[in-house]
Amino acid sequence: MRSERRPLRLKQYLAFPLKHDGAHTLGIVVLRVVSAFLPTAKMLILARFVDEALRELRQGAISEKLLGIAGMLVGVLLLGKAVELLMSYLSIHFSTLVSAAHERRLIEKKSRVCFSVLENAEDYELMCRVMDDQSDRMVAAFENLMALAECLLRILFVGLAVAGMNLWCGGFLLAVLLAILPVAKKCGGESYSAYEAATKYYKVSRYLRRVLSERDYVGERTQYAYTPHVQELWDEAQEQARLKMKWATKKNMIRTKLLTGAIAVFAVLLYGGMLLPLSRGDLTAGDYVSVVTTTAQIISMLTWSFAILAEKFEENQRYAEDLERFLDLPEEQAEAAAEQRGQLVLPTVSQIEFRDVSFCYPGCEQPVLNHVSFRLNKGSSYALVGKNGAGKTTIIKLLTGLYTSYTGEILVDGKELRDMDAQTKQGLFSVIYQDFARYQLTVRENLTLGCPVPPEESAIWQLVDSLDLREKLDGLPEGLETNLGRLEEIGIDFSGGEWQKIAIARAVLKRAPILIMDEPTAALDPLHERAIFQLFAEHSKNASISILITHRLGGIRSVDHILVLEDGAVCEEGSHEALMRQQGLYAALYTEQERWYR
Amino acid sequence: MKNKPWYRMWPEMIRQVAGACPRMFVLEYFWSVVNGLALAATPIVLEQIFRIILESETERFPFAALAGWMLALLAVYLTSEASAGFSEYYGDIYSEISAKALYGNVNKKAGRLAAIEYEKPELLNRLEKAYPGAFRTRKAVHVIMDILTLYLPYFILYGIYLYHAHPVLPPMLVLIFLPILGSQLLKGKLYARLEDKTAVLRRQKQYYAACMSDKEYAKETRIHGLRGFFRERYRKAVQLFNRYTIETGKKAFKIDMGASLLNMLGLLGMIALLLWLVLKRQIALASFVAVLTSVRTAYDQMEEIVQQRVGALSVSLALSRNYTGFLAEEEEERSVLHRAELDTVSVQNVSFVYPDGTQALRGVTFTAERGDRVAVVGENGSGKTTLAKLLTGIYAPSAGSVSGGASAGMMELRKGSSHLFQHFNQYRMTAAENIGLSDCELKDPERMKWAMETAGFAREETEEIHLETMLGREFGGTELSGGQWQKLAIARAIYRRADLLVLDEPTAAIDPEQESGLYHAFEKCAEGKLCFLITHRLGLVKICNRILVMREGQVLDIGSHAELMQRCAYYRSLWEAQAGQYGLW
Repeated sequence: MRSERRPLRLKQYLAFPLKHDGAHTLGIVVLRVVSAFLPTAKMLILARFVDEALRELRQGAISEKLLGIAGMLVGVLLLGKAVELLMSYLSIHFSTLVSAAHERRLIEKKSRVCFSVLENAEDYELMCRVMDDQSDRMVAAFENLMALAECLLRILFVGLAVAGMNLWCGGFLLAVLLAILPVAKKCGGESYSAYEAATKYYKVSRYLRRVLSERDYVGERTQYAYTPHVQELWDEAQEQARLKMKWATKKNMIRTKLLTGAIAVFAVLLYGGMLLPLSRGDLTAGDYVSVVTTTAQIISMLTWSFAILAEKFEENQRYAEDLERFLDLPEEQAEAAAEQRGQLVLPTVSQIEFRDVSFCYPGCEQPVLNHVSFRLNKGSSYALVGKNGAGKTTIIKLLTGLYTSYTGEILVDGKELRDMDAQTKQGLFSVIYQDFARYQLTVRENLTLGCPVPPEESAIWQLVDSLDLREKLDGLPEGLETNLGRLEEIGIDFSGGEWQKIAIARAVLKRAPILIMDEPTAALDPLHERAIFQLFAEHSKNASISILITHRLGGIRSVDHILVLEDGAVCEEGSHEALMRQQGLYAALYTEQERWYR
Repeated sequence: MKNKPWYRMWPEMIRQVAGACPRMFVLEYFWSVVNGLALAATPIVLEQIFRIILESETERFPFAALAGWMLALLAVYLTSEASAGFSEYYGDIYSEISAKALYGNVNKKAGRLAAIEYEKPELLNRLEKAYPGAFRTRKAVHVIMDILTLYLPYFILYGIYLYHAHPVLPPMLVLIFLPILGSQLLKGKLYARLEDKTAVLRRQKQYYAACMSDKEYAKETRIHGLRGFFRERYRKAVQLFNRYTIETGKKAFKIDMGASLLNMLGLLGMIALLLWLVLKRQIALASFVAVLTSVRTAYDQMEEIVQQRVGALSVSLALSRNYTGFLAEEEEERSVLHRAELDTVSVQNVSFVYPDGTQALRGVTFTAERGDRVAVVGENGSGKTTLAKLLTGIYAPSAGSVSGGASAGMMELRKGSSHLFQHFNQYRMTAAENIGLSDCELKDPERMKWAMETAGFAREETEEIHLETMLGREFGGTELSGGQWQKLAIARAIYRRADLLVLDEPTAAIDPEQESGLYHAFEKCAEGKLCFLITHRLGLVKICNRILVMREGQVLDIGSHAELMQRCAYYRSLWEAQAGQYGLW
């Protein structure tokens, strides 16, 4: 599902603020225009003031007129301050609201992208670039545009005013200042692309830094004492990045400074050139003095801040491109609205069928599933068995709708999965993942999150008992309302095993017709392992269809039907006994594992 | 020492930063001084030009005198641009050089801490802040050097110029400026309070956003349809967050307004005074214009120092403590680096308590000899992994002793042992680096190939993954499956020259087809060594001659499988739980 075309590039830095905080945005635009005109006003008044003062000082008599002009000068100064204050007032709301809206939009989008996008390294990087610490970006980019526009307007106004005094001078001023704009813009762009060459090395050095300092690596780091060696690798990457940067910096600096140097030369040429009309009396001394001071200020503005503005401008443009790509990432179907969830009827399921299903992960050429066909029927429990990479987990990902780009058909009660609405799909599955989520919410929320209607208290406690959790939960300060994790001031943490039980309880309480457990016991001791398998056996009775994935073949003997996968296809299926009689792959695997316990 | 006053931190900070490359440090700030002086010289030269123009008689226009000053102006402009360019250029380069030096210091420091330190949340917190702290240290030094070498020369020269125009002007400028300084201090406090108030909200915001959208939560959030639930939570947190932010913004605005009012009054006073002086002919009209226009620049500069530099400085200073503080962290004593023969490992009455107070081991005593293959079994949380880390000298016992014979203490144990960690690492490097990291000096490709083969890499696999293959998708390498990463970690562990080998859960991610092959591989690797195998897969005890049964941090029993089946009920129950699944009990 592709979203409609979005406004392009820079336009969206205007369109977005306008849409989300139109009044303040317009206010800021108006104030910027006023602010851009002030230097010109000041210049014109100053010229009159100097001429008048010169005249009156020579005559030795001070008139009220001079004081009046001085008053106007002060007035412009006050107006400038007022505009500044007003702008900062508007910004309070503006920046908060627009940043929040931007952030919300990003999160909303990310929460809707297809699951395949989350697992795709390139897309994932794009999302990081667009989202990490970027909530202020929209405001910053808008401000940048405004500042640049004000810069240009200022020059334009001053140029026009000077042209009013003397056409040649004004023309020269405008021509010079406008000629540097494209060059300045180019500088920003060039430097950006040069810096990009260094980012590859920075990425490596950032990764190595993690190896050198993070807790995840401390065991091997201490045991193997590899810090000096990895530090060398880090040094090397950092040095490479630095050299790339150095080269880029040098090139960029020479370019920028040649440009600003040229501006300085032209400015002095202008000052010299203006002496001619001045000496002829075509230009008053006041005009001359005020034009020179104003130009000097514009030059210092250009050399100090324009380069930075141009560089940021370029960065924002890149960001806009990324943002556009991000917003165009494919989305999955919308989920059921919160208010509809209560009415979700959880149907029973009588059959799941994979009909000639093939699948490749996006960006990979090797198919993970290769013309897989099988049926799962109501009232039975199933196990998926096979080597790593044989496609067990992929089958679950397809079945639960995380990926939709398969060929063939997946039918639930004869209905193609892709044609079902999200609401129905959500009601179908209770899944316990190996990497289950640890929600930092209250215990109750953790348990009942998946339930469309709040389960009965007795059902919760019955399950708590069967998971052997009662003692733990009774010991909590606020019982089921205790916060888990560290999000709230008071929160407690569970051990890995306890979290896993919570995840199991969450899935079971949902009472969906299809129960799935994906590798629940990889890191569990024998006693826990057996307990989990027993739980599965117990709760699979309540579900229409239950599916277990595991490497621990002893745990699946009690499962009704076993599907053995090899190279992306089902190579054997049947009950444990039948498969053992068949003397195929399953029997070989099972016997090999069992042998160690004889 | 954590709370050394800021002014006493400077020498150390400057030493740290400047030490990375003193020559370039001096160059950067030399040009900065030149730049500051050139900036202040501009209004001085302009005033000379104005003076000549405003005082000239129209009949004889003084082209010659003006030409000289025009050239001087050009020289000032060009000097200013060139010096700014140089100081910026050296500054950019220098920030890279110093970043490398300072980050490198943190890297090295992290490597010198005892592993147990990483179990302390406070340390992790400090470590996490040490890198930004290093960055801020550079930043703080840069700001202070900027103030000293750019702004100070500028204000000194400009001050002299103002004083020259009229002695009352410099103090007046400072006076006008005071309200801005005051408002900045007040606002700083305001925003610090906002930060305190919103810290929790910020965390909540981030967390609920993560629950809505992060990959970690995506599967469950989507399958249960929880997006709306978290969106609502997120929205509430954002609403409150925004309300506080806007409230504080409005308060800050009031402060700004007050300060601006005072400030404007001062500026008006100054203009009135200047005007009066002109009319009284105490200063020239040219000076008036030059001062009036340059005062604005000077004022902007001051505002920039206070609003941006000083603001950044106080933040940077506070954060740079995280860097200096981290470098002062206590290091682990690592005296011995020679390899000692480890023929025996003796664990005497060992207890171990984690920094959070969890007692992982109590009164553990046993010995094992070269040639022993010891399986360590027990429930999750019974202390097996902790014991493994004590055996290879990663942790020091809280009480009791672990030694490798008479002369080998913790460091010798560490040096002479190898360890496959339960949570092994996946290095985004080449396969050769991945294996070679365990013994960096060795650099033996043949041994690497042997290690890969022994760890169970099939021939087809090694054809695809040879030693120079870059691994991990991040840097465009080949991604391995969980099982392959595990085999690579095994290869790494056995590549290291060691007398003592500890394998912690070596088959968690291995599929049943390969499990058996690996068991035999372990048998081979353990030959002539002392080997500990920590496992939940009790079948593995078949290749071990001794089994250590752990329960709640204690050694319940030690013996052969047959002996334990006879006398240890707990071991029997473990065995039964697993073997029973295969219908063998």
